[in-house]
Amino acid sequence: MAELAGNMLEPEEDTLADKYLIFNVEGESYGIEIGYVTEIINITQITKVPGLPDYLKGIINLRGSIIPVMDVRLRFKLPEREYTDRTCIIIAQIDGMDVGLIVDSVSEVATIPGGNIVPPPEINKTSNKYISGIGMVEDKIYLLLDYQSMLIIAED
Amino acid sequence: MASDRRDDSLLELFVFETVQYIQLLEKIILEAGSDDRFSDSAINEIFRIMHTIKGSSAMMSYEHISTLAHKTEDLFFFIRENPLAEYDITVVSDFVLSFIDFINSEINSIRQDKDADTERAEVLGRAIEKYLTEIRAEGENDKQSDTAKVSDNLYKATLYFEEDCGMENIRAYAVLLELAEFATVTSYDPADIEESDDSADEIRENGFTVYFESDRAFDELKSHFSDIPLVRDVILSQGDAEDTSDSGVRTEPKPLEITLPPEEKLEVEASDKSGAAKTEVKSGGKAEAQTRGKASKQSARKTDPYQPMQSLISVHVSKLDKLMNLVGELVIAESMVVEKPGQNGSEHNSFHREAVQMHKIISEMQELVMSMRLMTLVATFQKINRIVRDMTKKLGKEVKLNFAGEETEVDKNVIEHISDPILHLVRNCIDHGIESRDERIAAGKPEIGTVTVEAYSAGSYVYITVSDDGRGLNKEKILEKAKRNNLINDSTESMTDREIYNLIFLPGFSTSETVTEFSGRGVGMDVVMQNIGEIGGNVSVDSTPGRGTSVTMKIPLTVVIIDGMNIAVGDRRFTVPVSAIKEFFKPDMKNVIKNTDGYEMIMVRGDCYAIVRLHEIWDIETGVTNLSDGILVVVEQDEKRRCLFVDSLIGQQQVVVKSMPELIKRSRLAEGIVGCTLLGDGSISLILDMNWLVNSDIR
Repeated sequence: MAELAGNMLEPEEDTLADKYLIFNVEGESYGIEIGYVTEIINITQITKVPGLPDYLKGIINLRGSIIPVMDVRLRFKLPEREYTDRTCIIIAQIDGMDVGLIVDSVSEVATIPGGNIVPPPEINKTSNKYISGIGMVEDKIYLLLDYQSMLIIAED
Repeated sequence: MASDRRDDSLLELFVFETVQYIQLLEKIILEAGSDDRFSDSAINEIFRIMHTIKGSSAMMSYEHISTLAHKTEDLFFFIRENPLAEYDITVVSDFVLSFIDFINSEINSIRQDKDADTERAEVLGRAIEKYLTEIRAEGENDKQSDTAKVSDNLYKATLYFEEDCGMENIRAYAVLLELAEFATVTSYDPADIEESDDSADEIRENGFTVYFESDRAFDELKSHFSDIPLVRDVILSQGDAEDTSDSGVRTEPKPLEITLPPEEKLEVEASDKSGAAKTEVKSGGKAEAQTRGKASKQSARKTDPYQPMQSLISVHVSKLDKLMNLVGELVIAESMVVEKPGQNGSEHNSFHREAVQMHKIISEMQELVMSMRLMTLVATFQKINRIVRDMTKKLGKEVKLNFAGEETEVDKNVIEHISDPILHLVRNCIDHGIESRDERIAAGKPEIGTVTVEAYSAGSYVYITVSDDGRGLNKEKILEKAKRNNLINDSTESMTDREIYNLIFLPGFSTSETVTEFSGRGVGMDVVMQNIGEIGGNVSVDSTPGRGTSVTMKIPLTVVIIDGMNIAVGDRRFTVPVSAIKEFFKPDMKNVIKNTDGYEMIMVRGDCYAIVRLHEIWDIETGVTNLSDGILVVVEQDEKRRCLFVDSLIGQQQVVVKSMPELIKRSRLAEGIVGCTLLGDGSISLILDMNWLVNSDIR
C-alpha cells in the first residue's frame, strides 16, 4: 500500500528517471538505465551462430522473436562460469536493436540521482571501456554500463 | 519544441497520402504525354489533387508546399475555366513533373527531419506564375481576334441519344422541327433521316450533327439542347459552320462538351412513383430501365478513370508483417500439437480428423496472408516511364518503351529490392546500350531504339528481363577493363562469352568511359547484383554485338516462406533451401579423392565436386567425421555446385524465414548464415547462405 501511495505522489513521466536495474557480475554491481530494459528472463536454450566472437553466445527464441545474447562476463574478459538457475538474461532494447545480456544475477532497482554519478577515472586507453560512470548511493557503489560501446561488435 | 512534437501518426498519414497523390499525378501526366491537350477529366483530377495537397500541407504547416500547390492549382484553374486557351502541354507537364520531384524531395527531407527547401519552391512557383501570365495574355488576344474573324451566330451541335431509345432518326427530325422555331438550319448529317431507317444506326454511332444560325446566346442554346428528352450528350460549338470555316483562322475554337448528369436518378424516381403495378405489368420496361441505368453508370465511370476504387483499404505494412509472423507461429504451433497427440488412445481417431481440418484452415490462412502482401509491378514500371521520358529528352535519343507482364505479382519486400535495380538497368540501356540516331541509321537499324521490360513468373520464381536493341556489350573492352582493375588474371582464353559478360557484375566495374548524369557514377551493376542477391535471386546477362543486350533477374516470389530441408551437424540444426538441393546420397569412398592441398573432392556421374565439411568450417563437435557415416548434399547456386557434408537429414518442411537480429547482421561476422527459422519444438535452425557456401574460399 505504501508503495502504491508513493507512485501516486510522483508525476508519471519521472517514474523511470534516475532508475537503474542493478545486476551482479563477478561480485561487482552494475547498473543499466531501466528505460532500456524490456524484461528479465531465466537462462534458456541458446542457439550458437558460427563466426561470432565468443562473448556473443548466439540467439534465443523469445516468443517468436529472435534475440542475440551476449555474455557480459566474457564481454568484460572475465573467466567463463557455468550458468546456474540464478543466471539471468536481461532483454534490453537499445537504439532499436534487441539484445539479451547474460549476467550472474539481478538484484534490485536503485535510484541513482545524476549528482551522485562521477565519470570513471582514466587508467589507460582501454580501461573502463564499457563503463560510462560510477554511481554512489549511501554506502553502495554501482558501475554504470556504457551500452553503446558494449554493442560495437568486431572481430577480436 | 512544439513543432517537434507534431503528431507522428498525422505526419505519417500526410506523407502516405501525398505520395499516393503524387504517383497518381505522375500517371496522369505521363498518360497525357502524347496528346496535345489534357483531357477534361485529367484537368479536373489534377486540379483536385493540387487542391488536396494544398490543404493538407497547409494543415501540417508546410507553407512552401502549400504555396506552390496553390500556384499550380491556379494554372490548372485557368486551363479548366478557359477551354479555348492555348497552352503547350509539354511545358505544363514539365511544371507538374518538377512539382512532383520537388514534393518527393521534400517528403524525403520531412522523413529525415531536414529543413525545407523553400528556395526551390519559390523558383518553381515564379516560373509557373510567369507562364500563367503569358498564356492568360495570349488567351485574351486570341479571344479578340476570334470575335473579329468568326461570325458568332453560326453554331454546330452534335447530339447523342440515350442508348436503346430507338427511332433515333425520328427523334432527330423532331429536334430539327423544334430548332426551326428560333433558328435557320443550314444543313444536317446524316441528311436522309426522313427517308431512310438506316440513318438511325448511323446516328447511334456517330451522333446527329446539325449546322444552324441563331441569334440566341450560346448558354441558352446549350440548355435548350440539354433539355431535349432522351438526349445523352450534346457537343455544341460556336462559329464552326462547315461552309464558313476559314483557313485563315489559326485558332479554331475547341468544342465545349456538355455532359448531362446521368439520368439514372430520374429513372429510379419514375419507377418509384408508378409503383408496383408497372413492375408487374411491364417487367420488360423495368429491365430496359435497368440496363439504361447501368449504361449511364458505365459512361459515368468512363469519364472519370482516376476515381479511386472504394472497395480498397490501406493497411500499415507492419500490421501485415505481424500477421504474417503470427501465422508462421501458428504453423509451428500446429506441428507441435499434431506431432504430440494426447496419450489417450481412444480419442486418436477423431484427433486425426480434426487435425487435418485444422491443417486445411491454417494453410488456407497462410496462403491468404501471403497473397495480401503481393503487389503488382505496375507502380514499379510506371517509374520507368518517367525515367525514360527524362533521359530521352536530355540525351536526344528516341526510345520506345515496351512493357509486358506488369500485372505479375510479387511480395512487397521483393518489390522494394527490385525497383532500384530495374531503374538502373533501364538507365544503362538508354545511356550505354542504345546508339545515337546517326549510328543507328548507319547500322541499318530503325531510328528509334527499343527498350523492353518484361516480367513473368515460373514456378516459385519471377523473371524480370530488361533488354534493348542497342550496340551490345563489347567483350574486348570488358576484358581490358577487368584486367586493368585486377578483377581477373591473364588466362582469359578459356572464358566463355557468358563468363566475360558476367564480369560486369563484379564490384568496381563500370565500362562507360564517360560519366554521365544518369549512369556511371561508380554505382554499377554490382549494386544490382547485391540488391538481387539479398533477396536470394540472381542476375545474368546475355548480349549479341550490334543486336542488343538483355539482363535477366531471377527472383524468388516470396522471401518470407521457403521450402527447407533441415539437417543436423553435431547438436546444431541447419536449414538448406530445397530449391538449391540437387541430390543427396551416402558417399562411396571409392569416388572420394584428395588433391595435392588435401582438399576432398567427389566424383558423381562424371562430375567432380568439392566437399565442404560443415563441422570443420564452423568447428562443431560431432561424432560423424567419416564421410561414409554421414550424408553428402549436392547444392547448386548460380550454376556452381558443391557438396555439403552433414551428419544426417532431419526432414523437409515449409519454414518461415526470420532475418538475423540487427546486431549480428550489422557485425557481418555470421558468414554463411542468411537467416533463421523456428522448428516444431521451438528451437532455432539457421538457414544456410548458398551463395557464400558455393563461392567462398573454404578450407
